[in-house]
Amino acid sequence: MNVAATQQQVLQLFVRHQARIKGFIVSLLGDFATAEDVLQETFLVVQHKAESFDQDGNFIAWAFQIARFQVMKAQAQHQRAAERFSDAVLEALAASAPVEPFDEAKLAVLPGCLGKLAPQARRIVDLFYQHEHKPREIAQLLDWTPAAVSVALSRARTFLRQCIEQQLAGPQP
Amino acid sequence: MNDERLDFLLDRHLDGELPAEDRAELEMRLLNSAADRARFWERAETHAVLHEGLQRQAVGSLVPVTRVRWRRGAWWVAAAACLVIGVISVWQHGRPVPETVVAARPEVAVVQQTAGARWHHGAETRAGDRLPTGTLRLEAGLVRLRFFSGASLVLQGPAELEIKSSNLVLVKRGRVTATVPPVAEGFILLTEGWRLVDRGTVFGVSVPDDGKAELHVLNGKVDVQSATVARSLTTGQAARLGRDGALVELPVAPESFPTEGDVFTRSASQQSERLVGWRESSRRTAQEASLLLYYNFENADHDRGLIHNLAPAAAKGSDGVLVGGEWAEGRWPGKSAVEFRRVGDLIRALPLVTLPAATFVAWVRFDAGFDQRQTLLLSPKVGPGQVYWLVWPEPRRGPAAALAFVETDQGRNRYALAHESLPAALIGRWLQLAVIADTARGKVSHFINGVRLSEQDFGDALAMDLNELVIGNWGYTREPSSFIGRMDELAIYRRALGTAELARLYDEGKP
Repeated sequence: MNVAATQQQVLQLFVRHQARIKGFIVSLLGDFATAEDVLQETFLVVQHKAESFDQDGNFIAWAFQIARFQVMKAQAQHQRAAERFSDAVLEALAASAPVEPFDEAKLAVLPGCLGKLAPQARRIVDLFYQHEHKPREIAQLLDWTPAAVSVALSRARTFLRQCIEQQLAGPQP
Repeated sequence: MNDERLDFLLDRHLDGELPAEDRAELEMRLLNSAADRARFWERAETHAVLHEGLQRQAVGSLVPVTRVRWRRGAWWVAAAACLVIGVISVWQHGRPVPETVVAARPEVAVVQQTAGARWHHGAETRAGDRLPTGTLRLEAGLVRLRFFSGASLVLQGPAELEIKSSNLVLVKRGRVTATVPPVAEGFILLTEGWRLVDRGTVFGVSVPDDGKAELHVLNGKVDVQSATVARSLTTGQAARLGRDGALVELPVAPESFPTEGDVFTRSASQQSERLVGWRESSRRTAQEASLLLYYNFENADHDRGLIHNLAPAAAKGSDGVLVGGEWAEGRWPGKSAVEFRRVGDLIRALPLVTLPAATFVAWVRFDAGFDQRQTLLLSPKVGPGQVYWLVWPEPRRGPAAALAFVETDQGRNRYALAHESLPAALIGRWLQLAVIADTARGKVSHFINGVRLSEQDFGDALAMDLNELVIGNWGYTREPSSFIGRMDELAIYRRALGTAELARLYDEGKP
């Protein structure tokens, strides 16, 4: 296969698995704003290194390696040591990251599960995940304490995870 | 396995708010336990699904970043007492003070030029302002932005952008022309369904309301990716986003995209129109019988350093004598101002009056942070009725400073403070500042841009000593008190101006 065709194929793989790669980056960084930049940097490196991708290998695992180095690079630029994982932890986490594709089926049932959240919890989930406000900012907007916002986010995650799994398991007997 | 402590630590990390001391504990656990790492990815998966799902929904309905908080009562008096000596009882009416709650977003772009720009919710974003990440909504007009990365965008309203970083912008709606110099190669524009990576070019993107984005490459090369296609377009090529991410080729139409030249031409003609309009307004102002002093800084005698008092029947000696300070550009090209920087940059005048009521109106631009006192105007002679109008830093209250009006009688001072009225975001902007001091009625009010910030009781009537004035500096103190910035208009009236008059002056004088 010629070089351009390989590159084309790799870029399409990237586009297809972009949500999964972004989730990987977002989880390691704990910061949405930087994650966007890291995803773009990862994309540029993937494009540059397209030829070195082994056609029989796992694309997600290969892209995770590139993304992990971009996370380290971004952290060194944007985050203080106390706010980020050490390189050893990032390496251990990356090595244990599941390499399955992003599960679009979960997105399909998400709106139904979001609808079951209490209004305040829903508002906090929207402010955090959609508007990308930090918990501290949400606390200010709603006149809550930051700890209460964190607790609400944690509970919402646990609830939504269970709800999504139940929905995908099919109707309960 | 259920481990509450681990989940707590993992969630704080995902929230972006894990304290340093807890991070060490989490790192230790993740390094030592495969089960804990598996739990990390389980928790992270929900996090990623939520983020992805809600980001895909994110169209419109964004939360405004400012809100109005209603302040009441005299809660700040104790704080003020720490700053000043001998405060007599003062209080503040409850008034809504606009306050930026979410100011923590990083700034990533400079507004370089605007022409007829009308912003969503009447926001007053102007040339020179810095833009943070987040949503930008332009309802009409043209705006030129330069990102810190070096890329520049010309926007034609109505347009809506989501600025993600200085390298990454999502165009939700409208027409945009991107100019990307080599230094910013790799600048990325996203539209619904597309990712455009610039390779050193000029290109136009339009996103109509139906969401079918178009890309026109005017010069250079752009990499385009959609869900199914990844290819490059070069000079003279154009395409529309078709069904399933396919590219549908179009004839290129450079004339349908706004250029930097368009913004420049329209902006220049609007600025000269504003200047002509202000000159008209300034001529009317100069006929106002109640004026004590009016400097518009035009037609000044540069050689002799004299600033003419344009008030009717101006007293001899009330022309300003420019001691230090440089002539500089004012609100518009062609309008002069005095720039104040150092000790000795000041204007002196002798109006020779004592007044029970007065209004002070100045157009100024602050060019440095508010971390020292900055004197706008004072009467230097110590004694009853001596007044100061100044910026008062409030380090205990955060980065914003107060506007202060002080009337002093050798240690028995009376203060009117508009707390936190000068946030750092106002640095570099032309502002109309005003004080209406009606000491006969015992009321003093501060205004910015025609809006009242505070009104305070000032106690018994006492005439203000305006026999001698120093403008822009304190003049004789070791404590730095220089105004750092520019002034291009100053008016002092012998009466309390109505708020409607002040608002009209703002409208006629705003840049």
